[in-house]
Amino acid sequence: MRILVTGIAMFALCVSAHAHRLNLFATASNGVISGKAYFSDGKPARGVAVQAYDPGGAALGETTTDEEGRFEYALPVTGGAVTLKSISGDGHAAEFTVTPADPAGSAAAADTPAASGPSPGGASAGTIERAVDEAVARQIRPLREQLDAFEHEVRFRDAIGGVGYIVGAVGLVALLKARRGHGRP
Amino acid sequence: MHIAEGILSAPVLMAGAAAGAAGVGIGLHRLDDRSLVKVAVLSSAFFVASLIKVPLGPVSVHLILNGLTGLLLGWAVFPAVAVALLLQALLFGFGGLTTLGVNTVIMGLPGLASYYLFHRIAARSQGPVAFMAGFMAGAFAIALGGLLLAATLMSTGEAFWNIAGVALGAHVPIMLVEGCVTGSAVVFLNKVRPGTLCANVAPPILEAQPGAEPAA
Repeated sequence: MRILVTGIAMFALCVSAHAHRLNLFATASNGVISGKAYFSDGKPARGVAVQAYDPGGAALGETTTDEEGRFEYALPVTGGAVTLKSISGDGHAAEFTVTPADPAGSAAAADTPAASGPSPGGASAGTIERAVDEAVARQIRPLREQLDAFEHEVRFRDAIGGVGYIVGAVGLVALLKARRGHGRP
Repeated sequence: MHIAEGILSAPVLMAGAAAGAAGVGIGLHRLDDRSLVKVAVLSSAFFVASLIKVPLGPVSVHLILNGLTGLLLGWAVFPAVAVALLLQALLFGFGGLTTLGVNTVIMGLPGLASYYLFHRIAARSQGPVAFMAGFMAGAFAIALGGLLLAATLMSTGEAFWNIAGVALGAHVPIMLVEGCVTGSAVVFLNKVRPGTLCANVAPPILEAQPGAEPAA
C-alpha cells in the first residue's frame, strides 16, 4: 500500500517530465524579469531552476519556477541583455535572452526621467512615455507568449515532411544497392 | 527521453557519438535488402510516435516505440532510430544534433536488448504468450532507456537515483501503454503476416554467414 501511494505521489510529481522539449519565455518591465517555463505539450515546468547570465556569460543569480511554471527575477542594474538558462533534472534544457531593446529599454526609460526630470507639472513627457511603454508591453505580452508557443509547436506538415525524408532516404539506399547488384553477375 | 544540447560534456557526447556510430554501422552492415522497407516503416513510426499523445486520466503521455522497433529490426534498430532522431531534432527541435549519438544509444540499445531477450518467444508463440512477450519487450525497453538516461545525466553531477526516480516515475504510464501497443502489434503480426518477426536481420552470425555470402 505504501509503495502504491509513493508510486502515485511520484507519478503526480513528475507527470510533466516526459515531454520532449522545455521552453522558456520572459519579458521585463518595472525592473523585474517575469516569464514562464513550459514543455512542448503546453504543460508548465514546475520547480525548475532558472539561471540568469549577463552577456559576458557571468552568472547573475538563480530563481525557481512555481506551480504554474512562472518565475520572476529582479532585473540587474547592468542594463544589458540577460540570458536565462534552465536545465531540468531529466535532460531538458532551454535558453532565452531578454534583449535590452524591449525590457531594459523600458527599465532605462524608467531610470532616466526619474533621475533627471522631476518636472513640477507632474506628468512630464518622460513619465507619460514610460507609462505608455509599460501599458503596451503589458498588453502585448499575452500575444508574445502565444507567438512564442506557436513558434515551438510541432505541426502536422513537419511530421509528414519527416516521413517523406525517410521514404526518400530508403529509396536512395535501395537504388544504390540495386546499382551495385547490377555490377556483379 | 531526448537529452537537449548544452547539458552534457564533450567527452560524454563524443563517447555517445562513437557508440551510436558503431551501432549504426553494425546495423547497416547486417541489413539485407528485403528488410529495408521494414526499417523505413518502423523508423517512420518511431519518428511520428512522439507526437501521438495517449490521454491517460489527468496526464497525456506519448509513445516512444523503441521496444517494438528493436523487436522487429534487431541491430537495424540503430540506423532506424538515428534517422528518426535526426529528423526529430531538425524538424521538431527535440534533442539536438550534438546529442544525436547519445540519444541514439539511449533509445536504440534498449530496443536491441528487447530483441535478444524477447524476440525468440515473440516470434514463435501465439495469443496471450505472444502478447506478454511483446508487452515485456515494450515495457522493458522504456525502463532500460530511463536507466541509461539517468546514467548519462549522472555525468553532469546529478545523483543517479534522483534522476532515475524521476525518469522511471514519469515513464511508468508510458511503459504500460507501450507494452500494450507492442504486445498487440506482435499478436497482430503473428496472425496476419507470420514470419515478419522471424525473417530478419539475422542475429546469430553463424546462421547469417552461409546464406548471406552468395547474395552479397
